[in-house]
Amino acid sequence: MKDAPFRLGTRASAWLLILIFAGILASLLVLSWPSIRGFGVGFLVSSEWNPVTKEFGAWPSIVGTIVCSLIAIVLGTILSFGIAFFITEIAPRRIRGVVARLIELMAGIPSIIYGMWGLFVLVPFMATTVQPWLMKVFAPVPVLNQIFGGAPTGVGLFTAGVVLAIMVTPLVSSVMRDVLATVPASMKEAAYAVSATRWEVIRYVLLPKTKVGLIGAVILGFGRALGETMAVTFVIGNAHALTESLFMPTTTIAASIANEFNEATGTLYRSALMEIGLILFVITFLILLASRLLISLTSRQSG
Amino acid sequence: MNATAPDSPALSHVSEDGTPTPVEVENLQFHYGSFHALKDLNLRFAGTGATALIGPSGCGKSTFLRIFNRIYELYPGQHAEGSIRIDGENVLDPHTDLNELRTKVGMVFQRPTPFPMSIFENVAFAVRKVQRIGKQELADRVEWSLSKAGLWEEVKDSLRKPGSALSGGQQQRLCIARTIALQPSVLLLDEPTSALDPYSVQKVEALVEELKNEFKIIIVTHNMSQARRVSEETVFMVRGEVVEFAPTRELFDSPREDRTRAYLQVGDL
Amino acid sequence: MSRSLSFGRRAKNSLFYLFSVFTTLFALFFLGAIFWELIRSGFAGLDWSDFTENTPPPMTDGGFLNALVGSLIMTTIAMSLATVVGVLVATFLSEFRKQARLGSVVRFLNDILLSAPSIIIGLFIYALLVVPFGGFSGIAGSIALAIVALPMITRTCEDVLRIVPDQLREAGIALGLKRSTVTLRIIYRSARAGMVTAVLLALGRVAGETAPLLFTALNNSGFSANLFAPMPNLPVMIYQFAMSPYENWKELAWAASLLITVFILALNVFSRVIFRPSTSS
Ligand SMILES: Nc1ncnc2c1ncn2[C@@H]1O[C@H](COP(=O)(O)OP(=O)(O)O)[C@@H](O)[C@H]1O
Ligand SMILES: [Mg+2]
Repeated sequence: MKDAPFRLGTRASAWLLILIFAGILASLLVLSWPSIRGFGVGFLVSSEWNPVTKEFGAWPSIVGTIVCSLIAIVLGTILSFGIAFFITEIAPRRIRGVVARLIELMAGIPSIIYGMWGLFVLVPFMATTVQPWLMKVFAPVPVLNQIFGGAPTGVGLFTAGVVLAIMVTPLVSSVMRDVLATVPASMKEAAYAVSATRWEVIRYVLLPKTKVGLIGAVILGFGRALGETMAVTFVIGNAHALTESLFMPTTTIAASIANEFNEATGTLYRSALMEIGLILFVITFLILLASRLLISLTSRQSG
Repeated sequence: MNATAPDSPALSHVSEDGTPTPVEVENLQFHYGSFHALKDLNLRFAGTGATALIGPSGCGKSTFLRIFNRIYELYPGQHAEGSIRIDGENVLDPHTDLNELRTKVGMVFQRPTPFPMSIFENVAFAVRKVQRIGKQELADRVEWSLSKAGLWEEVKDSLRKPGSALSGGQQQRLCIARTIALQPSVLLLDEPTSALDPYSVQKVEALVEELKNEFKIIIVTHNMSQARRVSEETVFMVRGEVVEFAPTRELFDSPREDRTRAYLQVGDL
Repeated sequence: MSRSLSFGRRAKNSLFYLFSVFTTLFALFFLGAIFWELIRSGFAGLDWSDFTENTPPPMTDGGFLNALVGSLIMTTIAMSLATVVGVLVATFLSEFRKQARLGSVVRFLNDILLSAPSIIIGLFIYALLVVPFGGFSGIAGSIALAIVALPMITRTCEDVLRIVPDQLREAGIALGLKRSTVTLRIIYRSARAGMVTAVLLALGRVAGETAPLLFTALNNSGFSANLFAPMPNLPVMIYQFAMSPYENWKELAWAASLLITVFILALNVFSRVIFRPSTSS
């Protein structure tokens, strides 16, 4: 092969990738233009979503997306934190690899299967067991009895958050493990040498050293949760409504698009869906920026 | 066993009356970005035999070698000025065909770098790509270079095995064979023995002794006695500058410069 | 200096152990629960006719031959496109470092694409290929999947190409070989196992992707190998059937889910097997 075509080919491919990115931004902008022009900035804060009167607002789906991802990331962080330390610090050498591989497997299961499982297994379990129990526990507590209140339907933010938590855990825990691995063994050994316990080594050596990177991992997981579509679509209930209860049906941006786009009639309806897609793209982009900044800060500190 | 050399590599830097043209380095400067790594080198190497480059690590020996085949150009921010003349042609001339230059100026690195292919292919690969020769001739060439590199007897029954299956010392000799298979006129060796065990070091040294009759050799070495054993002339560098350049015997026995004397006594460490 | 740990220190340590073991078991429990349901409901729905018959109307027997074939076609096209482009972009990033400025822009955009929600890719292809050409099509679905796979392949391939030591590149160049020869014949060969793994990982991800197909390939209840018409495929079929009220459709959805999961598992195992020899040598 000649050198010139080879160089040209690689360079052209690099440009193609730039074009794809530009194309995504441009097409989202163009197709959401009717909605952007029609509703202006008010679109962001309006709670209206009425295909009949052609009034659309993004607020419920934005709130749904963020709250759902927050639930996911709070639960997911707790799980990931334990798992990351279990694999790197606590588990006996022999089962480390096995556990790590099983957790990795969870990352390989397609979103749609999490969704089906959520719908057929988790939703009934939530409706009959978990939610009634939570309602009973929080009934006497003022604000919390609103949040954990309403009807135990099984679908809604809480269930979606739990499914998402399971889905982001493999990613978050594996990035956490990478971050923890940046701490040199000599530093841990020095701490053990002065008879620190495992917990103390983790608390006083590993955590302070890797704090920023661990937060980066969490934000990365948050970003992933924001864009998850199929799993949420199955269990969120799909209602453009703001609810104070986590047990009521609501929606997220991705779920709204998946659910309504093909049925959406009229330019304005599709355009509104495109615009919330654009909002989602921008949010995930900002979140990615933040997580990368944090993760690169730790690798520079310890590197 | 007789390795039939297809055609003994012509010393292309030998002029028609039989006297080899020297390798001339003039006003050579080198920069890594803003770091001035080589400062105005002016040298005239004999056209035959071996020239040794010695000096404390970081003084610019590798940098110097890497200008001869312009391999530094792979990386951004590195550039050279001045001239290096081989066969009267300036290597740094922007019109120089780099692929051609690199087949004429062979290079062997500190660490052996076998290609991910068989022993035979390691040697044959570049020959086939660079020169148009027949199958039989190629096989002969492989045998010839492996013999020259002192490796033929050890590998002739396992030519199909991967190059990486050889020991470190064998790998290094494979890399030498691969380089001389192209019949270069200059052979650059950058600390070719520093990663090897004593036995392999001996083998490679003996090889250099033999090869220098056919190729112009420029060898970087950390090992003073090695420089002394294999070379006719030696360059001593410090911090990107030439401190002393003299016939090897002279430089080691009666150095003119104090810095050379000090270095020879204390050594690198 | 006291030799035995105080009670408080030991208690905190044990508590952390417990937390860590418990969270791990909790996560593994979910994994087990998902597999259990997949196997239970999946095997119940799985039989030969699934592979010989097309998707049926509600309440009648049938299979998902059409969806399986459609998925195979689109995945094959998507992976071929993404592999070629992804390997080339990765090569640009790892081999042509003199163009560092363009390289860092491309790497950054690739990372954004990698984390972009896949449903956004679906919207993009809808705008690019469905609207202008007047309809859903297999080719639109294939390209959407390709764009999902592309950043993954690019990223992983660049990583494995960068592991190849620079000395090997220099050794090739120093022999007077052309850059393309060094890359294609020496560097790729060194990184072969890693590059295949990169492609397999991307394949595993694409195999179950649903969101990018919803507005591009859509679905098709009959058999269709026409790239310019809506193309049936397993993920969208699973989505539609699982959401339906019909038992036979739900069964097919579970069976197809089991099939996809087993495929992904097999890919996982396979990629580990091929990657092992090169990492150990
Ligand atoms: N890629 C590079 N970028 C910047 N500086 C370099 C690079 N390579 C070498 N140098 C610097 O150039 C000087 C000469 O290096 P080198 O030629 O490798 O020394 P030697 O081979 O004599 O040990 C050293 O100070 C080294 O730090
Ligand atoms: Mg050196």
